[in-house]
This record gives sequence, C-alpha cells and structure tokens, in this order.
Amino acid sequence: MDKAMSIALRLPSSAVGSLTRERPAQELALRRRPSRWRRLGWTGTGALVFLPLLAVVAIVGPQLWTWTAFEQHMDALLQGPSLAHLLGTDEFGRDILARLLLGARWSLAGAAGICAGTSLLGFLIAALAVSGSRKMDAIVGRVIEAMMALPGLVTALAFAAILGASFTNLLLALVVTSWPWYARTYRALLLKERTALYVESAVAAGAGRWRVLLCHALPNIIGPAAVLATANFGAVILNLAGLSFLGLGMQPPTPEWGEMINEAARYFQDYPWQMIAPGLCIAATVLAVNLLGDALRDVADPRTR
Amino acid sequence: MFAYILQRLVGALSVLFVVSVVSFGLYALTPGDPAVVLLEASGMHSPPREAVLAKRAELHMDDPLVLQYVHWLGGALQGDFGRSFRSYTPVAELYMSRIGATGLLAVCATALSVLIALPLGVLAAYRRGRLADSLAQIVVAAGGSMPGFWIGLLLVLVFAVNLHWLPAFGSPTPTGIILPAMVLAVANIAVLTRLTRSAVLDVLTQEYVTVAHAKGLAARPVTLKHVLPNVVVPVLTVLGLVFANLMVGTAVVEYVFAWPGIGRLAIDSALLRDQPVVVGFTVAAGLIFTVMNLLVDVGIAAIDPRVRSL
Repeated sequence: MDKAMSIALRLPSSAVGSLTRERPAQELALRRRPSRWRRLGWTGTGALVFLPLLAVVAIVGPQLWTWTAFEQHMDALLQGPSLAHLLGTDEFGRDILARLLLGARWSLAGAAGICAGTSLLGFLIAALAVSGSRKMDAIVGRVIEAMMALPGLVTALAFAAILGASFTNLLLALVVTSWPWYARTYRALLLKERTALYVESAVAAGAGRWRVLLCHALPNIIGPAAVLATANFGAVILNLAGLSFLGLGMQPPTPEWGEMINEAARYFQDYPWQMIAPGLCIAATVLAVNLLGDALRDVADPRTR
Repeated sequence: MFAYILQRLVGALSVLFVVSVVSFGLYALTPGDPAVVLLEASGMHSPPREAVLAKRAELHMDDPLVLQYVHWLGGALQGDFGRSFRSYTPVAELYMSRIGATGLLAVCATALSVLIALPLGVLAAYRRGRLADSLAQIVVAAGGSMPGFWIGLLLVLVFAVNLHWLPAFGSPTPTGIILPAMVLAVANIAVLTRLTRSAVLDVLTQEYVTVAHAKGLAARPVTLKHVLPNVVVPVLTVLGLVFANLMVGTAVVEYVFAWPGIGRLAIDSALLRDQPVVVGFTVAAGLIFTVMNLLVDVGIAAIDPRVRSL
C-alpha cells in the first residue's frame, strides 16, 4: 500500500508511511482525504503564483515595454522615476525598468541553467557511484565529501577568474563547483531505491544498468530531487548575483541583476534608486523561491514541520 | 577519543589532497606563459629568450603534468605557493599579512549573529505558532533572501551617507567594523535562528523535560538547566561551520567595504588576472575550512561522548 502510493505520488515511501500509518485503511477509502497540497500554506501558494508570473514577465516583458534595454536617452541621464521612465534612467539614459526586465531573463535563465546543470552532473556522478563497484562507490563518496569541504563560492570565483570573465564561464564555474551537494543527496536517494522490489524485478527482467537507473529509479526520486533543486535555487540566484556584482559574470552593456548593481554601485551615494531596484528584484525572487522550497519540503515530508 | 581524532585526521588529509589537486588544476589551467608574466612582474621588460627558458625550467613547466603537481605540492608543503603575477611578492606572504583582518571580521560577525539568533530562536520556539514566532520567521527569511553586498550598500547609504554615524569604508577600528560585521551576520542569523528554534523544539519534547515539569520545577530553571545545555551541541556544531564559512566567505562583503582581508585580496587578484594569488586563496580557504572542521568535530566529541562512537 505504502509502496504503491509512494510510487504514484513520487515521494519517498517513508513520507507516505508516516501520513497513512495512523489511520485505518477503511477510513481512508471511505472519506476523501484533504489534498496534501493544502500543506503549501499561504506563503507557499503565494510563491507558487508569483514565480510563474515572474517567468512570464521575464519572457514577454522586454517586448512589451516602450523602451529597450540599450536605447540611450542623452537628454534624460540619471533621472528618478517619472511617467516616461517608470523606474528612472541610468548614467547612459537607459530605461531602468527595461533593463530590469531583460535582466530578469538572464538572471533567472542563468540560475535555472546552473540548477539543471548541477542536477544532471550530480545525478550522473551519483549513478556512477551507486551502480558501479563497491570500491568505485567508496572513492566517489570520498571525493564528494572532500569537494563539499572546499568552499564552493571560492572555487567558483577562482575558476571563473581563470576561465576569464563571461556569463557562460561563470555558469560553468558554478556548475563545476556545486555538484557535490546534489550528488550526495542523489546518492542517498538512489541507495534507498536500489534494494526496492521494482528495481530487483527490472534487473531480473534483464534491464541494463542505465535502463534501470533512467527508466525505473529516476522517476521515483524525481520528487525529492525537485524539492532539493527548488530549495537550492535561491542560493544559486544569490551566488550568481554576487559573482556578477564582482564583474565576473555578464559583461556590460547586457543587463543582469547582479551586473546592474555593479554598474549602479558607482553612483549609489547620489542615485541610490538605480542600485535599490535590482536588489529588490533579487530579494523578492529569492524570498519567493525559499518560501516555495520550504513549503514543498513540508508537502513532501510532513515530519520536518 | 584518540582513535576518533586519528580517524578525523585521516579524513582531513584526504580532503586536503583533493583541495591540492583542485588548486593545482586551477593553476595548470591558467592561460598564457607564467614564466614571461613572472619575469615581467619582477621588473624585467620584454625578457630575453634565455631568461624565459631558465624560468620555465625553474618552474618545472616542461615536465609532465603529474611531475609538475609533485613539485608544486612539495613547494606548497614548505609554504611556497609561487609569486604574484603583479607585485612579485610571495603569495603566502600576501595572505599572512591579511588574514588577521579577515579573522577579526569573522569573529565579530559570528559573535553578533549568536547574540541575535540565539535569543530569537529560543523565543520563536517557546512562542511556537504565535505572533512572535511568525514575525521572527518572516524577518529571518527576508534577511536571508537579500544579497549581502546589497545590504552592505544600503547600510552605507543610511548610516554613512545620510546619517554620518559610521564610516562608509570598513577599517579594523571599532566604528569601521560595525557595518561589515552586521552585513555578514544577517545571512547567518537566518540559519542560526532556524536551527536554534528546531533544536529547542526538539529538546522540549524530550521526556526529561516533561519529568522536570512534572516534579514541579518552575519554568525558568527548566529552561536554563535542562533545555539550553542540550541545545548547545547542535548550535555549536553549526557555529563552527558558520565561522569557517565566514573565514573564507567574506570576499564579496570585504570588496564592498574595501576591508583589507584575504577575500578582497582574492577578488582584486581575480579581476587583475593574478592567478597564483587566486589559486593561493583556494588553498588557504581549503586549509582554514578543513582545520576548522577538524576542531569542531574534536570539540563536539569532547563535549558529547556519544559522538565518538559514531
């Protein structure tokens, strides 16, 4: 029962078990249980509404707004908010709202790319450890442990600096340095699945190592994996912004939130609004992502509440 | 206890080995010819061919990569991490001269976060589900969501530019350290408050707390003698990690406040493409982090004997 439910809901069986064990099975069948999604709470629901909206704004916003992010209005330099420029202009007379909208694309797409990249790399390495020999597993485990002791942001900084300052290099540097956290969790998740009955059946039916991993184990750990990626997404946005702020990421004139703060920091004593706006965007996004991450964790595993 | 320490030491050494491989890997990835750059940094303009070849031989640059690693590791073990591409100063010397400033900042930031997070977490746990708990959680979540460098700029705007209370740039003086320490504390307060809250909640459900209440002890002695001492272990573990993280992770905030620490050295060097200094930072960071972790592990084992058997 628990097993079937855990597969249907794509959650760890322990989480489902703790939900159902206390109630007799009959009652479950007779009365519709309140949806587990009610555990999201109002903060989680709010975040779940806000984030897709933000994505839509990032995708269509730059096309819809009057100005582009690169138009220079030489007659309106460093202006405060006005009707023509809702959030004012920067030192080249570029519309800050337009730059924020285009910047949202780069910041969000960059963070999503890093999360996807690290998830993939982490999963591959965890799969390598779990499906290989015992010795392989021990070596990979040690390397993961050691890489986690290396301060990720520092290594990313060094790596990005050595590759040269560009957005792609920064993404690469952050992926290469943050996979150990993912690999460790995926390894633990995969180890639990390895002894599951469905894996044994798949192996008995003659499925190869990668087929079992990708077609059978992966769908069963995708729920917790998604929760992990969401919980980490906020930290990724902050790291990306921090390194961009240092000038190691997106290069001007292309806007990105961290890069915009870097540019605005030169004028912030006299024109603070330029620097406040992108910071608020980052803070709001990270807050929403973190709240969603917490809520998803509560939905997946009520014991942590 | 001795066996436990030995086991941790072996673990730390294997971590340091990976750190050294990663650092050397970064060094080996450096584009351009280090021999030419170093000769130019030492004051020789357009160095002659013989000098470059001699320097290449001195740096073992014509050896296979594995041998280069062995030479590099040999030098590193003796404290030789090469010289800066810019100032030709030995990298180790650069870090030794600046580590004190970062240490001071890390100590102040850690102390500040404990002073705020510990009472806040205990309060949130005792008022679980009430207004104070929700408020504490909201404030903490908001603080943890803002980029540190941005908070730094805002604080400078308010306290230095508008109110003229504090200097805009950090310096190792009593007034200069307040703003950078506050910024660094904000992110850690988020982590520590949540941890304290859940640790207190954990302890409150233990039977010995119920027994203490049942035998008629007043609320305050129960909190002070039964609850808080048991909260110390998990908090101390994370506190050690927080401090280690601060020692190596203050870079961006140091950059904002022009603080003369190792993080700012690394960023300045990264922006100037001074690779030996940048690589030196990963070594320094790995070393600091590993030693701190080791100290935390041993310290926890000294306090809590149950850990030793794990």
